[in-house]
Amino acid sequence: MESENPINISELASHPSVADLLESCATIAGARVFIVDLAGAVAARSEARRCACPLCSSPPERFECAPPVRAEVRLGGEVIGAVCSCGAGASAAEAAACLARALGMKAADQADLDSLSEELLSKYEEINLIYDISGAIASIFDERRIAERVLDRVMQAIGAERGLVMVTNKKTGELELTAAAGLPANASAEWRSFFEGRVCDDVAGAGKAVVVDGRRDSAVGGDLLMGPPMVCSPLLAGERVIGVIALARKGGGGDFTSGDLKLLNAIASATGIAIQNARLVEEAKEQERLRRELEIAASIQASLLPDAPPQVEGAQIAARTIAAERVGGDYYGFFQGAGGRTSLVIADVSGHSIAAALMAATLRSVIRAATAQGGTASEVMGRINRMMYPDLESAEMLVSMLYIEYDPGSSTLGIANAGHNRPILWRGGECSLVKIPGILLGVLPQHVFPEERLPLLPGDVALFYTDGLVEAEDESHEPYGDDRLMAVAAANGSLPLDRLMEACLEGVRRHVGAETLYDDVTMIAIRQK
Amino acid sequence: MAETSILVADDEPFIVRLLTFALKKGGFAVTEARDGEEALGLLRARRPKIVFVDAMMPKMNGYELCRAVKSDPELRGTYLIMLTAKGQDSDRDRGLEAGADEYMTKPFSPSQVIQRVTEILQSLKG
Repeated sequence: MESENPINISELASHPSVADLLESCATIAGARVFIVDLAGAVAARSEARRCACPLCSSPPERFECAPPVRAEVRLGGEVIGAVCSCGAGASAAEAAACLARALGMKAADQADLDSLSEELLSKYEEINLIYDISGAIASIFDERRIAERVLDRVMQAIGAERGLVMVTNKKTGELELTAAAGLPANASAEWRSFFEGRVCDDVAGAGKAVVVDGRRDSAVGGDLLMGPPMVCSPLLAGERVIGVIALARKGGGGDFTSGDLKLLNAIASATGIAIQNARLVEEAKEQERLRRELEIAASIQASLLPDAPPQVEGAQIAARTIAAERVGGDYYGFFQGAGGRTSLVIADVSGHSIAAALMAATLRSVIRAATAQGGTASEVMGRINRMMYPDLESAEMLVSMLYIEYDPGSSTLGIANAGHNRPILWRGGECSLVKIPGILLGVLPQHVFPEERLPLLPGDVALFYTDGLVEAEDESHEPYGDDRLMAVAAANGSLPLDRLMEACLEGVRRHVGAETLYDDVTMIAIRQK
Repeated sequence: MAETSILVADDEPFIVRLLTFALKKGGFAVTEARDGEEALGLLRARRPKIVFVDAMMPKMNGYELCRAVKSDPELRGTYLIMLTAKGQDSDRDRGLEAGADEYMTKPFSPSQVIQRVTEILQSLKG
């Protein structure tokens, strides 16, 4: 019985207020008063001798036989000790009974206080655990490490033998095992089928914690790895479930309590925030990496472009390029060939990265080498394709390009097209598209690119451009298109080349409106004098 | 009553009650002091083996108490645990310099406190 009642009468008797009560009772009783435990040992006694009886003259350390007066001290109906006296005075029995009742009330207060202290202790343990875990994971920005750390601490605190943390995949949204402890390594598939199907999905779906006790689902509770009893809480980032934490098999074979669930919920909450923070940090790092990469790509790309168009006998040349918010792969250049011929190149490398910028650098070197060997635009384009193909194929990239050779002697353009936008010819206030077939560079290792010979009359303007110009979309995703471009070019073809190109750009800007240009825009124009 | 083995010196009643209750539950005899002077008096009178010392106490603060204990040949062997708030590293360092044997940050785990006290008492016996 003593084990059910933790109040110790000896400890109670040692309290200073009890000593005062004891002396008061002794005065009323006119005799010594003793507080004894269940075994009869004296826990406390009044000091002053009150009568001449043997008990008062030689106070014992232990009562071997029943004293004349004995009143039991009770707590919740159970005897926890007694108040004894010699009984010399008439009031001794009454005084002893009073003190016994007072001690019983004090014992009840103490029991309440101990119970509250026990609860306080448990809460403080929880606070410390949450504080500890929050502090530990605040500086970790790796989901797996956060999950492992939390699982380890919470299993210790709650006394679970098995545990796991599942976190949703950022791309698929599916729950994935992120940390596990106490699970046999070879049985995860069996466990997953039970756990994911029966509990995790419910918790992740509803965002509410559950306790499954050992009796409710005994059919699956036997040998299954995470079978009941178990407790499971959602990891929340705001109101969104980004994972679950589950514990199974409470040490000692008991069920998990609502207190365990509350604690797990609090920790799950801190864990969800930590995982979300880790994800945000990871995203910020990734964005910074991409930003740096785009900066480098833009820097490479800008370094490839010529400072100014070349001075050519019999013609004027101008060029203009606008880099998009995200770097595109536009490239243009001018090359000197044999016999005073000038070659113009406009190209668009697929992709928007350092790789695309580096490929454009390679392309420039290859064009320079291919042009130096001489030949027609068709031959040079075929040579460029052969030289570029291995690199383009291994990088899984493609290039669209126009190779335009201007012969000042015959005032003729020789144009080879590798899958690029068709040039526009302005003549006498009207525009037409110059149709030249040809596939992209990098599609086939060997290919003959047909050559279009385009004789220019005085005042004629040939306009070359990249797809960023005609594919720029307005808010309803309507592309600018060839027709609009030709209309603007037709109206402005007689203006100086810089103003003609500015008019074309202004046209596309008006079309796009508040939308952003997502691709580079590049133009080259040549006018026959 | 069992021989006093642990003294809890803190002016924060909540901490005193909590630590005392946890330690008594762990089977240890505990005495309480609400300030540094009372603590020093109880140290001399009852010779506890371990003292939990709060850094900031009235009359005599925790650092002064540590220095007083470690400069007294009779008390020098007492094991002193400085109680500091989490994140207050300067308090911790000051406590260790003043003679504390180790420090414990608040909030603490009551179960870990009991475990640590058991270890310290065993090592003191050895």
